[in-house]
Amino acid sequence: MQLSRGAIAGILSDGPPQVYTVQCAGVKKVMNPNGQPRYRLMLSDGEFQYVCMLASQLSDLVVNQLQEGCILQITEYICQFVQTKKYVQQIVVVVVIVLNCKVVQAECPKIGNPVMYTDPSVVAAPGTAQPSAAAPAPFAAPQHAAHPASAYGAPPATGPAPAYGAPPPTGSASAYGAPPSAGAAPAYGAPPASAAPAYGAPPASAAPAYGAPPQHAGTPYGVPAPVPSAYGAPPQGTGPAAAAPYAVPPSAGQQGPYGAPQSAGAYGVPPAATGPYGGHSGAAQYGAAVGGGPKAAYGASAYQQQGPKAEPANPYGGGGGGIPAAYPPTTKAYGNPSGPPQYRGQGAVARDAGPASIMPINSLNSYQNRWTIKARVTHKSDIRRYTNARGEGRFFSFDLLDAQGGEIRAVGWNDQCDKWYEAVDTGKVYLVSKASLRNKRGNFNQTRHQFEIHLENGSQVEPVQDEAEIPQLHFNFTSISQLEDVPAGQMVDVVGVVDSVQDWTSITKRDGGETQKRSMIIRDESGRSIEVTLWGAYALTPGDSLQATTAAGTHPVLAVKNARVGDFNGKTLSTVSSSTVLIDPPDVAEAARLRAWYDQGGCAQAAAALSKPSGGGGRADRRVTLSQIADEGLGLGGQPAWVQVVATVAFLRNENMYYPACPLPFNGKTCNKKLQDHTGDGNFYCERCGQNATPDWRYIVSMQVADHSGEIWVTAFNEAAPELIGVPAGELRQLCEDGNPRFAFLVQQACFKTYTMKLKVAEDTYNDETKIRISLVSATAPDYGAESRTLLDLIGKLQRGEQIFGPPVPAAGGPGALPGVARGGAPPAQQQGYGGGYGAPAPRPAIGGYGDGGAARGGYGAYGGTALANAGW
Amino acid sequence: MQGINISAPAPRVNFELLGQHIGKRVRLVGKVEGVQGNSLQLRAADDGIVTVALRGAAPSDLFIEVEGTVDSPTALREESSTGFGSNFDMANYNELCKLSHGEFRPLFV
Repeated sequence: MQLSRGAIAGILSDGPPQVYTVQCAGVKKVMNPNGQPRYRLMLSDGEFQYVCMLASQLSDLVVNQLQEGCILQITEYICQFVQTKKYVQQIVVVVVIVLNCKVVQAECPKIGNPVMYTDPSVVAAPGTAQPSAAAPAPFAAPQHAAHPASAYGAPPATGPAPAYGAPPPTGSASAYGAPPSAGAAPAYGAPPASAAPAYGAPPASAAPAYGAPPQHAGTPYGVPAPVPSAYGAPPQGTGPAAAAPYAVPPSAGQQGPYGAPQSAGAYGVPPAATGPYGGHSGAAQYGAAVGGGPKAAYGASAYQQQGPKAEPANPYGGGGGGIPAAYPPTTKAYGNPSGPPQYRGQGAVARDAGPASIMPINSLNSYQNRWTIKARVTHKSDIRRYTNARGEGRFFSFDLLDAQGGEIRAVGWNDQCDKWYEAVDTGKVYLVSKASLRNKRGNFNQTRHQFEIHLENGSQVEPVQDEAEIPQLHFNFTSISQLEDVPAGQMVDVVGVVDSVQDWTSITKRDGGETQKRSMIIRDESGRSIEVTLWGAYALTPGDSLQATTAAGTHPVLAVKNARVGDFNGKTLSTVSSSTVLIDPPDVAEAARLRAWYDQGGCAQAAAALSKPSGGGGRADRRVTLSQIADEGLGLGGQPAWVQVVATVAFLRNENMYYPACPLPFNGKTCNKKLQDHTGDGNFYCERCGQNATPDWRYIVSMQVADHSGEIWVTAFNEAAPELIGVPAGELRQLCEDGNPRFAFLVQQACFKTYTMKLKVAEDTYNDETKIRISLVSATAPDYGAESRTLLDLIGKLQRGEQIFGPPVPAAGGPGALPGVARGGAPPAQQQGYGGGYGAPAPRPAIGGYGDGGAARGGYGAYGGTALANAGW
Repeated sequence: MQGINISAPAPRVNFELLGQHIGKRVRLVGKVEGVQGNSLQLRAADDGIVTVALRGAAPSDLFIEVEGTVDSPTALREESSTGFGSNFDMANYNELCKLSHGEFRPLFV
């Protein structure tokens, strides 16, 4: 196998990008602070060898094929110039990152006798003597303090130069937007303040190292240890050309997604500004070529003909002071004719925000912290609030889609949320830059991108002229038959022709709120059909129109983006908050194709259903008798059970029927916490809100209710109690305080009335004691007609010898038609739905968004039990 | 003790049960289909039409319950009547009639 001659030099030089064949002379695994393993390779071209990092997405190769001795074809790579401190001086090292490679031969004896590569031409870098002169770039061959920074032209060793680019170690991480954890200085990928400069390694200390070369404390990473390499010297200031040598990431122009000049990515560079490392948003320097011509990049003065003085270091700490420089460095990376690069503490370093080079969303990566994307907002979420250990917070998110079809989610937290929520509109195109990339939080984010964007202080979201090239919505359809193999909980995009639509029904959510749902069946050319459930607002819009047109005979095409697969009754689909529903979308090719298929005969095709029929209707609470609650242990085991009973109020406790509630808003809702009246003088104080307030009296009535099977104690709150008593809590309290006999009258007349009640049975732990507490969620006058039908059902069952009042039996499928009973209308939208064969639990779409501490995770709980079925009880 | 007077029970019937109660007092709920002077046409729960000879004025509701004596398998002589409004589930009533004359007869007067 022939290795590419001069490959190592070629990679490290600024030559045009090429595919090089090299041999792997060694593989070493290093651990990222975030626990991900990264691999360090020693690559050799037979004559020279150099240490390179393998991009994290290629780590699998090592597991499978890549091993010492194998022959690799490097198809994409990028060089990063990392300023680091070796011993006491600042030096710059080149870190090579392999972005894409192929193993062409898995085993091969060592070819040649390669030595570590050093570029003689660099050694002499003028700058050597004075750091100043030097453009940062050069690789400072680490070793040797001997040449104080010099050789490398590294930023003058002068500065304390704490870590590279690290913003002054003083730790205001914020300056650079370094990862909050900042705290200590070196963060940002700067080698931990400790000795050994680790190049580009994300600070071994805190700061997550995103892909930076492993921090090896101590070992200069990848630096050809021994040889004082030349690179350091920035091209002797002759202008861009000169800068060439290192400064430019080899392909300058083309490197894959990353090294692309435009992107100014800093690979593995100490957290540069934004980006994963939280480096300064501004800094990018490396490579931020931004436009500056092909070679942009690193240090090379590629930009403008400025002498190499590049201040490469900028990002890192360039001058303690004003760092966060503009993002894409564009010009002037170095451009500091006035003298040695101004590092730290020397005044603001001008950073230009030159015309940003737009990179595709799909190439966003953690090595590159200076990027700009141009994309359309396809979805914007509402502001959500949450409370976690650190207090409360809020956020909103929006999904971006660019011309290449890449999608990513952007999130704005707290202040960013306030700042950007109004500015961002769905459907418009924006340029987003200077934000940080974080790994996607899988349980909240179902986009297909590995990362998500977090807006920060310096982030920019600029509206731009609409781009016709950027599609409005990008779908990745899965055919219905394929859904059979998709696990529940996964998000998919689907498109199908609507076969039938049902009425909408009301459902009680796990947290007590009500919402609407509407089911329909769609099918496609794969010959399968599936039930799609539209929740919330979607149930009405476009649910209503869908029902109307389908009933009229037209079968529209329905496209849903981000539907959640459920496995209830076969497979089903549900909308979630991040879903988008389109009817007959005009610019979606698959929709048009389906329309044609259907009209030309597809409608006649039989479709095997993926969703077993569940009899439609809503999922109603399970109807039980009072004794069943205790007998079956409902509510035990963590999950509250929601049931429906028909019972009579037997007794109302007439003390402590109400409490003073805090009326102030808290976290988006009313606080409602009990106010304290310590002083006894009528001044009420809320502990949660921390202030006095006039109380809003709310009911908390303890009552006993009974049916034929037994009696239980329930607590009725302000939702249900006024219905039973007839007056609001405040009024009742007034009557009581006044000694008005009407008080006793009202309490008494509430007794011995029968209601259909919805109960929530839940476990409550108080002082180490866990008990079942039942609360009355709502009470309505019974519908005698429906109730009679239910009773007739039961009678029929008893006549047949079947069990009633027992634990639910999973639906045998199909709505049961009870003998001899005409089922009057289907269970009405409200809370009815007595056992009649319907009401098998519907799928549970998770509505939740983000939110630490699990807040805002509105799920639709399963009502106490599985299928309701005919047996229904 | 003054209790309910059960000396003259009037079981609830539908159309087909009328034949079994000729000359006896019954109670029948029906939907008003036509009025001719003193005579009323009621549609019973099982769809049979019963002719009711009214004693006085009939209530103006859509559904009424007539208590009276059975003259023939299709006719009833009213003694009193009650209006049941316009919302009445005839199917339930029909089932009630069947059950109370069938298996569960001993439960009823």
